Amino acid sequence: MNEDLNRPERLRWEAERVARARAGDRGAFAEIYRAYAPGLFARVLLPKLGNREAAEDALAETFRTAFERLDGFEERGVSLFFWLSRIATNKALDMHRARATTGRALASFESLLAPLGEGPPDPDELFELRGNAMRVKKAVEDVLARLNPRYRRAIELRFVEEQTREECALALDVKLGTFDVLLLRALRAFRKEWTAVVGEETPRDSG
Amino acid sequence: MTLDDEEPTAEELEEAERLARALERGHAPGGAPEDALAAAALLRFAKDGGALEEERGQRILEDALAGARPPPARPRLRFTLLGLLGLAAAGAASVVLVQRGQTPEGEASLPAPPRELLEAQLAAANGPSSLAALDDETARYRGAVYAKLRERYGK
Repeated sequence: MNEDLNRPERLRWEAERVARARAGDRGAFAEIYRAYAPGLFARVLLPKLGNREAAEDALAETFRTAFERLDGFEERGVSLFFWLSRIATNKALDMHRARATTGRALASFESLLAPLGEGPPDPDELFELRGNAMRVKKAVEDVLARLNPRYRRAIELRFVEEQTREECALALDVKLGTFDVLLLRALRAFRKEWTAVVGEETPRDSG
Repeated sequence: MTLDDEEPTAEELEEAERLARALERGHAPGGAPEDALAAAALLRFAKDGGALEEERGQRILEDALAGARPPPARPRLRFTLLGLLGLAAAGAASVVLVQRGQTPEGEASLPAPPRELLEAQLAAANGPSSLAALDDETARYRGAVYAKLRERYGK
């Protein structure tokens, strides 16, 4: 599905659901959610927070706020998605500010995705999440191939095969603490290679 | 590139432990090395592109709506205009009432002296024997004037 969010037919679709949602129709609001929540989650919140659980909470907060403030949305030929995106960005910033209190492990990787065109939401690509995922996956594979085999293996065990730390340490025949250090070094080496191969943009507002 | 057979420093050991905790629990009360954490988040993201499972997405929507206050009713334009007109009318009425309250009240219309009083005055002018009649007529006229004033001003 490759759509321009600001096309008249899309805006009409939105306007009808917004009007119904304003009148208290939660079903209409759910339709808006189903259309835009996956894009907001994958393209805005997850890259800004780097923590799936936190991104899910921020998504719920985004739509709670949107439902309460739907009257504040003005249809000016621009998709509701961008209004929702602003709310989501603010929720992510709030979470970063509250990090000292909540203790949540947050780390933005927006700057790493940006060179792949994965930074700010692009209406034309919003519905191509699968295609975007393939592009990121390919870039990751390319970068991993450039790492020394031990680092690559540590990363594959932990993030591709999703094994526990203990299982990873056992597979690499090292102590748990040694594996932790190995993974830290491997991730730093990966990031360095990513920046060299793919690039990295200067972080903007979060993370 | 740091070789993995190099002995880790105490600082690196501590960072590695904090990173391991952050990756396992999603929490890092003492902070975690953000450069490595961001790289890990990117690697996790690459697995599914940040896909949101349908069932999980539905629960998030339910959470969002459960915690939401209903949106304030959006008044229709017609009712908004009627409301504005009503406010304007009420304002105008207030102005009129205030102005009326500030304007001096109209004069009371007092009764004209009766013919009997004038005749008594004429008689009294001709001789003191008619003073009692003048007193009576004056008292009657005074009573009539006071009655009119009470009627007008309520005092």
